Amino acid sequence: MKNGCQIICCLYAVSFVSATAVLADEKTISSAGQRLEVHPEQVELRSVGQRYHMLVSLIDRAGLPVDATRVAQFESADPAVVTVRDGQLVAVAPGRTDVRVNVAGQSVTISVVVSGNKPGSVSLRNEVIPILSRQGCSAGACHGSPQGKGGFRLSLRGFDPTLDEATLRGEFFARRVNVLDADTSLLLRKPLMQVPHAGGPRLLANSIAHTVLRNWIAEGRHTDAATAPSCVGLMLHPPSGRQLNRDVARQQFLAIAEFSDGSFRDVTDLAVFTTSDAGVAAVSADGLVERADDTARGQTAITARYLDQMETSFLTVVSETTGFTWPDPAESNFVDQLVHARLKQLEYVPSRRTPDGEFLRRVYLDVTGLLPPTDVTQSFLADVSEQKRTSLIDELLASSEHAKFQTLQWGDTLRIRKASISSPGVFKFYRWLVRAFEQNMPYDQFAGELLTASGSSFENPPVNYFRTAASTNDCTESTAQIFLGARLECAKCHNHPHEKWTQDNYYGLAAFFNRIQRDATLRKDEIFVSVADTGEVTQPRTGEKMKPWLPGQGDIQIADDADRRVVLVEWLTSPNNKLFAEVEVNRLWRSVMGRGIVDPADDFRASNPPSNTELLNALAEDFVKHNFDRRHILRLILNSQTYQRRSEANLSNGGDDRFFSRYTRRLLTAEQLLDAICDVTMVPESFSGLPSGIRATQLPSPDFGKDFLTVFGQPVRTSVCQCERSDDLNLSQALQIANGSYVHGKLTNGGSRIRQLLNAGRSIREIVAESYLAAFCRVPTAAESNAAVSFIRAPGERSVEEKLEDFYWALLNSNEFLFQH
Amino acid sequence: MSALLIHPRCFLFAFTAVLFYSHFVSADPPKAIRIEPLAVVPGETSELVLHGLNLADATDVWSSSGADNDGLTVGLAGQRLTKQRPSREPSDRVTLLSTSVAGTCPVGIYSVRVATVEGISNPLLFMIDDLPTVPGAKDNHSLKAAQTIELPTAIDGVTESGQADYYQSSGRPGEWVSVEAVATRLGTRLDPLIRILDAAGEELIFVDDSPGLSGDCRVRFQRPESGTFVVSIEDASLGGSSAYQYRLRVGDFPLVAGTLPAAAKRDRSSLLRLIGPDIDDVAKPGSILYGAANRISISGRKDAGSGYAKVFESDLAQSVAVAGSAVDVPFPCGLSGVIAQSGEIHSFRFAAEKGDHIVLSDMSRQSGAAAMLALAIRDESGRAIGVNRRPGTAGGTLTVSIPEDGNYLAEVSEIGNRSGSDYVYYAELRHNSPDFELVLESASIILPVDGYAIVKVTADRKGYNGPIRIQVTGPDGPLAVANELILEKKKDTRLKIYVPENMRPGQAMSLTVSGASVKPNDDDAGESLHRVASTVGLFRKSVPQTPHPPVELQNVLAAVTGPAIPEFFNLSLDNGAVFFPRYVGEVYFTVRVKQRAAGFTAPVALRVEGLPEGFRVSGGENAVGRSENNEYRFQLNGPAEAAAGVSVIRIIGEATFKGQTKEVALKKLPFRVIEPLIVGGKSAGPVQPGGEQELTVRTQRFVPRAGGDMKQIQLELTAAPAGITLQLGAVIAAAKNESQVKIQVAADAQPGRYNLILQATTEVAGHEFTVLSDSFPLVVVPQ
Repeated sequence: MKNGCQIICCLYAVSFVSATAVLADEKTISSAGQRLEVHPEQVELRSVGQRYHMLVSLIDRAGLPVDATRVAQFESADPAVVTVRDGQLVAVAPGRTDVRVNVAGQSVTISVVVSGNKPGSVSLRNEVIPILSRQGCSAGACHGSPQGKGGFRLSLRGFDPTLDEATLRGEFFARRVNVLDADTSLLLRKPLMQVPHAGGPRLLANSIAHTVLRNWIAEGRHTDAATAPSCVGLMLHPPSGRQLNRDVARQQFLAIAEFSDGSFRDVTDLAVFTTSDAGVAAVSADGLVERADDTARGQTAITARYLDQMETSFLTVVSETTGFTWPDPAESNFVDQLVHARLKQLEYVPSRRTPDGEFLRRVYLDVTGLLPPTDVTQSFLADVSEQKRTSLIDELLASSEHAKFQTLQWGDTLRIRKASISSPGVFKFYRWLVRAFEQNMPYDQFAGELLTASGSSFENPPVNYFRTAASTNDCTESTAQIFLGARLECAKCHNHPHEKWTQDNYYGLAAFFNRIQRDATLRKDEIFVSVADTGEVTQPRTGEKMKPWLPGQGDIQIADDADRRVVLVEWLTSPNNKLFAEVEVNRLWRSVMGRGIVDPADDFRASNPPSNTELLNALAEDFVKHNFDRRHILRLILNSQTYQRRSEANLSNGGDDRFFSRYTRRLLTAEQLLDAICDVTMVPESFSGLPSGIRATQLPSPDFGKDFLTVFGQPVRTSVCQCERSDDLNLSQALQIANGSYVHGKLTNGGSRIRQLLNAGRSIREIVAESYLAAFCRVPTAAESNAAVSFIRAPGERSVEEKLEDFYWALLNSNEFLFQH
Repeated sequence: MSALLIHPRCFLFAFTAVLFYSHFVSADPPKAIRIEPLAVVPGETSELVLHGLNLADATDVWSSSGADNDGLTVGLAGQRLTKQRPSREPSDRVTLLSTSVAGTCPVGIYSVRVATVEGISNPLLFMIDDLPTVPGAKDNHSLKAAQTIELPTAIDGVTESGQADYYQSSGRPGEWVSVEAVATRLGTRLDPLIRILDAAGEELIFVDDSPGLSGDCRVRFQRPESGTFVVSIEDASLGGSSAYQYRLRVGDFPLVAGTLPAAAKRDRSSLLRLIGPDIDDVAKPGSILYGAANRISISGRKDAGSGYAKVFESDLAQSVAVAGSAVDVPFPCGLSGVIAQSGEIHSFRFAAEKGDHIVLSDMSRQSGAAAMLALAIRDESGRAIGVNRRPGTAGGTLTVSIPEDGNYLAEVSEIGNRSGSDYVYYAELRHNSPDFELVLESASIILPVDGYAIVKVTADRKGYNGPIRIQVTGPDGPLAVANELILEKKKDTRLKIYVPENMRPGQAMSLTVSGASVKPNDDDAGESLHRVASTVGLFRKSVPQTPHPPVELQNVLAAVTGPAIPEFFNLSLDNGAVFFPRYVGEVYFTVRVKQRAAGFTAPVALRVEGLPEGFRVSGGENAVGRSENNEYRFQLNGPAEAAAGVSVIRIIGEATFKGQTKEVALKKLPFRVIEPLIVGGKSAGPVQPGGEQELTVRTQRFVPRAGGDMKQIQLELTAAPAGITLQLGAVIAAAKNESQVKIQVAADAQPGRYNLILQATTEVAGHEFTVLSDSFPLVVVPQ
């Protein structure tokens, strides 16, 4: 009951807010317009009674469009053909007429044709099922759950219309619908709360939704004819680029569906609208977007979903803070230009440039996973050349440590671990990756070698891709997530609720992997991957044998004796497939910036928009232009002013955690942290089964065991999802750092840096200075140095050695050490 | 040290004779761990050193020479009982072997075992190699510390964990060099990885896991401009220790991937073309006498060292593919070729008749060749009769029935689309006739002097379901055997092999176990099938990194004579008999195993023989469960309507201890089919005439698990003396096993001691029956 009340309140609230907003907008709009634009410019209505919303925009003096839909006045030249009600064209009778749209003294005329001479019958598939989805009836928490609710089961968000037809029309002797007296149908009485309904009120009497459902029943609850048009596309108006500000706080959106008979239909009243960030802007059920509040700024994706179609439009909300001035900071390359453009739009002043020591520590950790040696720090700090940062970046990108650190990150993604690919498999796959990164293998080649690998898992290590992805479904989901940033798991059982991926798409993509064969060989732990020339994927819902399918291309015909994966890779790595490049540049961006332009970095979807689309596009284009050279992209990012900003917020950008006005501060990863502790204390770690000298960031797999790493979020590599590497902060971590045996053991080790420096006769002040260099890549301030020396030299029962251990303990427990900043 | 012994048996006789009786099962069998050097030179007598456990009392050597190889003689050179404990190595004995290799012996990989009276060791592998051996340095773990080598050479080295070993060679720029790491093929733990660097350390070549080398690697290249190159070798998994041995062959020798044809007939001169990278430059095709067990080798340029390969042994006619056109071949035949280009399909045209059942088998992987074949048989129009693109573990098989008389094409291609000179294949095109394969459960046995050994021989039947007669052949002919028949449709037998006469303890020999199909009548036409039993699976299990061992480890049973150790366990059975209650259908009984030798803890395989028809014990030959105190429980099932009676059965236990398998039998055991009720009575004491006495009646019931309980038992006295009766209506209730009833003695009954018998009548599972008790006394005392 509570839910129902909330919905009713919500419905009324929307009307109220809209009304007040209209008044506010009228003042602004009356003085804003330079030119009027109306969508559609012409329209055909195919049945009497059909409605079509109009979207009216005024182009302001700056050339920016402003929504004027709700203040526009409409005038039909022939009301006997078309009338206008609540901003909607309504077909009255066959004929042709013009409708004049007036706003603030400007007008536009659109042409309207009514081609049908009678009212259309209600379509079960195109109207009833969408209505049930829009009202939430077929949501996963309601009747769309696998078991349904209260004995009434619908397919999730209407993805299986055949099932829904059977359920709505015939289940339980058609008890839910009464064609003789439609108003007594349970399908109406329950959501109207005329009889108890656990889901609360879902319909308002005489609303469009109610009318559609009622008419469908009254017309005889018919199914659609086999020749009835089906929806083949969806458009969302206006497209991306609209901006809300203090004066213009609202934007109406229209959803227009394209059908297989070539017709277009306004489905705004049938579609479901969502926003990706309600903290920036909210969207009503009618498609009206409103800025969240006066301080809101940022970007959100407005998504409309109708049947299995989905379309997204990005919208920016700006602040227009009084007194804001853009400082016009330096720009190193297009990364800075595009980041600055967005920051300027959102009125975030970027943080200052990071000092040398902080930069050195940061770039070492980001590129190699390791802290710089103290002698490198000293020489870098002493270097006065202008190019020293660029030179360092080049040097680190070419280093073997960089290749190994990249391998650690890709090892997570590719799930390299003994349990799934055996111990020899781990080393061989690891080595292949290291060599690929050392040689800077172009990313398209890298993907191709993985995805088309055949033969022995030992002789050709990329074959292990199909060992960790041990089934057709796993291959489908892993490949989609790794190379397309798409999380497809949902679409395995039903159309993806938040994406364009349908269940058919899932199995169409699976058809590329269905013929992969994995055979054991006579050699222990080896598998042999080959490709069969028969075998098709069956869509479990429809029983249909699925053809290979590609986004944007549809079903693909491939000869039986060809390796389907080759066709997939050709499409995937094509320069025309922007997504392939975008996903990788975003992954590279995240690896050094701490947050993806799309974040999570492996979750590309319409409802999770990039924080800077132009930047992502530009990086992807540059990536393709440079033959998928990952090192080039990293070099570009690392040399940008954006990367080299401080992590501390200034007065302006404290609220920004998406648009890169400052560097993203984050806890060192488990492996980085363990290596850093080893480096600062100069006590190396050893791993069971591995030779001495192996660093945690260079482990071939997590199977070599260290509790410390587990506590700090080292993934076990059972999922390709980046989310498996936990960045949660927890008490165990604090206990490990503060009281754990690892840290204690390092500090008290007889060969530690403390003992080495003491044995070398270094003064306490010198030891303190070197410790700061090792841990923070900077010399201590005078105050820090004096405090440390005083503490260590203070008389007492404890020895200097013990106090130095305490001093190091304090260093290792400081945020400056624990965090990447 | 020179070779002392041509016939080591003579030398050791006295020594082992002493051991025989005084040293009975005093030690464990020998275990070989490591061999040094990893190769001996053909045409010379060299010394091989085996490290291991319990090698000190070695009595004989088993080697490839005992299996099938010409030109190799391995014997004990003498006893050097060196107490030695290399650091962190579980080795305390070193045995020196003398190896004499004829110059004609092919370069390749061979094997050796050491025998003592306690058993025969696991095999170790070594090479016969015409390259001179140099030991690897201990400190060559960097480019700067690279060990200088003169070509051609072979380095015997050992990797250290996480370290690469470096070797540097200088010579004429552009000169061809072959580098080959032999490690996994020698059974060592090293999975070698090679890098070829220039003098500045720049990597020129990286190679790991070359095709068809079981994890080893090799490469052929030209010296860089400076003329200097460096080879680094390391373990791909960063491992290292004395178990990570390698032999690194460097020189201008041919790298042979195989031959064309890939198979040849034994002891026949065959023209074989060698296949390998750039091989025509270094080795010309030639007539090679193929005689030694599937090995050939060929030298390239003078003194540059030899390349070597395996050859399939086959009696079939051989055909070699020609890329781009179909080759006419006889049927049946062997098919071979090399997949030079990716996607290449090789076709062989053969004639067949309608109804022919044909099998096309990819044999390549079975000997470690690199290719993995997709198989197809098509008619001449290209229509597929059958296709198999599933390679399976060891190569695919395609079986088809020919639809019409005519010509057909057998097509093969590389299923992984791989190609190059390494991808030599061998397939066979045959009639799909009934067949079988034999597998031994052990690769080595101890033959007790004056006794026998038991080895299980399992038949993998492939359409042939008739009996298979097993034969064992030793160096001097067939050995006496028992249980030599695998019965029709049965899968195995526990073959008893009797030690040949005049064998002394500790003497090693190679045995071939083979099976032949047995025709129902001697007059039946057609050839009988003859198959040699395989041991290769056992080797692969113990040395998994080496899936393709030398042929003598694939189908030869290594044996050593040893003193017969006394029985190390015995058996007992409660009540000394097995009982089967009628109408019940199922009963359990327990056999107890008692250990008679310290250290014997292995399970005993028990089987029951001689059960009447219709009876069976569950779990096949083994008891269904073993308790902590060595009690083995059997479940016995039989017909409910079995007639009561007694027959004789045997319970046989079989176990292996210190390499010897013993059978112990409980013979002539009574097997009693009884009524499902046992009744006994006991009177409470004497009774006077005219009196009553209590009688306690106890029963033991057997009821079927799912057949309901036994009904109440009606009791009577049978054949009792006059005047002694049981109370009227004496019964034992259905749910009880004991009841008190009264015996009534008439007043005129005569005093005395009487033996009474109870008659009990009841019903179980719908069957009414009557049983009698054993007699029990009743004393009637005078008043």
